[in-house]
Amino acid sequence: MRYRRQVAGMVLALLLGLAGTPGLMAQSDVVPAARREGKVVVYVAMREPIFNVVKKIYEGRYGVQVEEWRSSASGILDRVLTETRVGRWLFDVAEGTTETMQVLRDAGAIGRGPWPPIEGLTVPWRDPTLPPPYRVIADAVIYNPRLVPAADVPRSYLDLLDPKWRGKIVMADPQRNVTIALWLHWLRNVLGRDYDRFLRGFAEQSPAFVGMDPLVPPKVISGEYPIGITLLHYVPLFRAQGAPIDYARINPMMAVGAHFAVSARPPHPNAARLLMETLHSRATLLALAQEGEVVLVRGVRSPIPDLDRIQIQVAQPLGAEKLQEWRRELERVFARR
Amino acid sequence: MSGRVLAGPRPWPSVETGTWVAVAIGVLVAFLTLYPTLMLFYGSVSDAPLGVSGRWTMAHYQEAYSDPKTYRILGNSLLFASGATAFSMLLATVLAWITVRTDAPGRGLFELIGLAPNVIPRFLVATSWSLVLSPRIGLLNRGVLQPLGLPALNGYSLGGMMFVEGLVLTPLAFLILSAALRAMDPALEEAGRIAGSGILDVTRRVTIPVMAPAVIGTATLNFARAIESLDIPVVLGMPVGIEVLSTRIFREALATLPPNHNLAATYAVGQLAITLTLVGMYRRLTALSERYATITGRGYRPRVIHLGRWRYLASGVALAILGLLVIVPITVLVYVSLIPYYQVPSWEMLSQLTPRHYAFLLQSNRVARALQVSITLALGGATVAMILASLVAYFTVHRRVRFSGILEGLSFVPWAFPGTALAVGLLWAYAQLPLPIYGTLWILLISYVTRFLPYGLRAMTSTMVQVHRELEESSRVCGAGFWSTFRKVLLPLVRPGFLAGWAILFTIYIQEFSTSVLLYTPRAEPVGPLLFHLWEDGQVGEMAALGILVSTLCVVVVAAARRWMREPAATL
Repeated sequence: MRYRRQVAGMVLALLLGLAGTPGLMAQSDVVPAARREGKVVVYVAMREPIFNVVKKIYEGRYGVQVEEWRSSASGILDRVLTETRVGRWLFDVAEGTTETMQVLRDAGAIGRGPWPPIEGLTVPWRDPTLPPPYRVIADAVIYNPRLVPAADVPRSYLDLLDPKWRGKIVMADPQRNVTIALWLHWLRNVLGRDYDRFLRGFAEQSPAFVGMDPLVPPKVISGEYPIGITLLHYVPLFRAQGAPIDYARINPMMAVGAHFAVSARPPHPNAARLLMETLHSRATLLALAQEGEVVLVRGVRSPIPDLDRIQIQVAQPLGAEKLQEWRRELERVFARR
Repeated sequence: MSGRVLAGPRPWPSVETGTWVAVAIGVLVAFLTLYPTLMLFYGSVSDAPLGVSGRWTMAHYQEAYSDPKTYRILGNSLLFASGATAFSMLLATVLAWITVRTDAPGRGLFELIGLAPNVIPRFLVATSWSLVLSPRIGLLNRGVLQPLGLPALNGYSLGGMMFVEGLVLTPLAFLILSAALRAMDPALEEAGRIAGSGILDVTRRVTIPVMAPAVIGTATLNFARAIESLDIPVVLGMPVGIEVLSTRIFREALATLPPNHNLAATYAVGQLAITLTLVGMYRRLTALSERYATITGRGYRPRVIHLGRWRYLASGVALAILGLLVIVPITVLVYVSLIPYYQVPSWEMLSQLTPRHYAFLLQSNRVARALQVSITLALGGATVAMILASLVAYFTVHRRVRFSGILEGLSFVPWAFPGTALAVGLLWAYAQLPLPIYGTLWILLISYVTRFLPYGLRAMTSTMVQVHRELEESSRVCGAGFWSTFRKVLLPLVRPGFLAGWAILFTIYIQEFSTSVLLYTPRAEPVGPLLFHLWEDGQVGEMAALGILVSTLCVVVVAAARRWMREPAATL
């Protein structure tokens, strides 16, 4: 009798254990199916050296080939919408910002979940129809430490209005770059009553506009402009090469969410599901953080100095119409100046 | 018995092979050019994006053309294109004349390296010049002008944009003009010299009028290229608020969220109107092709003008031009490929030179794959495009079939659109076709041939217009059919133009970016998008190293083409 109770207890524990790990049951079917599918097609905006880390983890774990097509978040949005509207479902997983993901979701191009969770996400995420952000893209004020003495480094956004920075700031064109446009809008929340003064004054500083974010760091590093506003992840990237670049420790710092989502009709659904799980896994997020990406997950430390002392605020998307209105407003504000 | 004769069955009217070929070429060119164009035109009058049924609307035209700012920007564009074209024609004409028609020492080298800049990505050319002409850190300003107490030059200006764009436009113009000069019979010039005219007089009264179609055609070509140029206005104009039509298109239409292709198409239709006007002007000016025929049945050999002691000055002028075209951007490219990060040259930086970016090229599967894809596309695409261009040129310039005007106009249509807008048109056009084109290499091949057909066409028409019909007629009288005459008589005579066009298309295709970046497929990334992505990822050194590698490859190809161009033409 005692023996039977022991066996029943073990069986019950086993069943409870298996029930507590539902993925384990599904995984045994999904992995072989993914291998039969042979590949997963990803439309990705992440930098290639960083995405190679993800590829290595995924391909090493499952033996399924990753094929990627690279572009900006806007380029991916464009291609996905065009393809899906004409009935060509060629991608399995696509990357985008929160703004672009909302557009894709509303157009029915991506699934509506449920999405694999990200354990320990420190950013509240309440939209179940969109996957949580696996990383954030932060905008920072960067500077050339050989040209900007420590005492002159901006300590607040209002310091950018100092006359000594007139004609010496470079940034991506807000008419072309969504993140910069959002940054300028987001500062309204940070600066409150000082915002209007800031926006007018900043326009009078005659910042130089460049076509896209990658153009900003070389101009700061070469000394053409001592101050720039661009993506934070360029700082560790160029510092690793020995370049004179750093970021101003201004609190808070704005970021936009970056997401991967599965297509509404993926040609390789099992491979796509495994890729999503890989992207949201702690191992991947740790690896991404080590490469300089900003990952808002408990216990994941960034190698970017002092980032743990900066409050990262994930900006809420404006939506396509409001964004367009805001850009028109910026065009009037920055009209030659 | 009645003498009435019963009528037999009527024979088919005999249609010459050439006519069938003309019709087939016309249908092919019409499909290649009109289909994506019509898709864009449709987009400009529809209120819905591709794949979504919409209603007719003129709202996009109202939005684009009711804003007075659009016209101010258009004025900027025309001024920019005019200045760049004039500058490029000056450089190209002088360089072509020195290289092909004089005994200036080193001209073989001039011709070879004069084509090298064509392969360097335009945005890298602009970035290189910004390093030279930046008022703050420019090498020229800091290294030369400021120590001499002279005012700094500012590359971030309309003049700076015209200067750099003019340099970018020069190689193509040089190639076409040198091919046309090479195909020119010097008998007319000799007659002028015998009559007592000096070199300059002969050049002004004989050479220039004979070369007029080639010069005007090339200028037309360059003007249209400058109108749609995006890279240089973005790098040199945007930081100081100078806007042209292409940057406005990008801002207003393609950088919105989601991109507004309908509005982009609307602007592109405006650009089409400008370019078609240019084509109409060109055709009117070259209508009387027999006036310019100089390759006749009498046999010819292009003759060199002896400059005497002036030949060293001529070499000096050519070297100075090549210095601007080649030495500056290549030097900056080599420098960037050897430094750990982007920096103004200094003694400190010189001590940090590293070959690791070149090591990356050797180790990267991605680079190997991109080179394989691009070389395949460049070889195949250039050959297909030049064969098509030869046939189009034959029927529009030489034989002038009834619909030749339409045929030539159609060939130029895709070219009127900014590269990105045309890519969108191609995407829309072929994404919907139930054929295995979209998502394969075929769509890239089709896009390259479609977009750059006018380049090959200009090279061929400039040369074809100089071939007199008597040669073809002689062949036909001897019993040769259309294909035999075309292959054995015409093509050898226009070989310089064919090879010149082929070489220029090869160098364009191997680095093509604006259509490739939207249309390439996973695991088939060509070199153009790879260069851009390396730059976007901060791998500037690797990008520069790859740029040097591709440049070297193109110089080798151009050298081979040039060698074939030199062999004497057949005579009858």
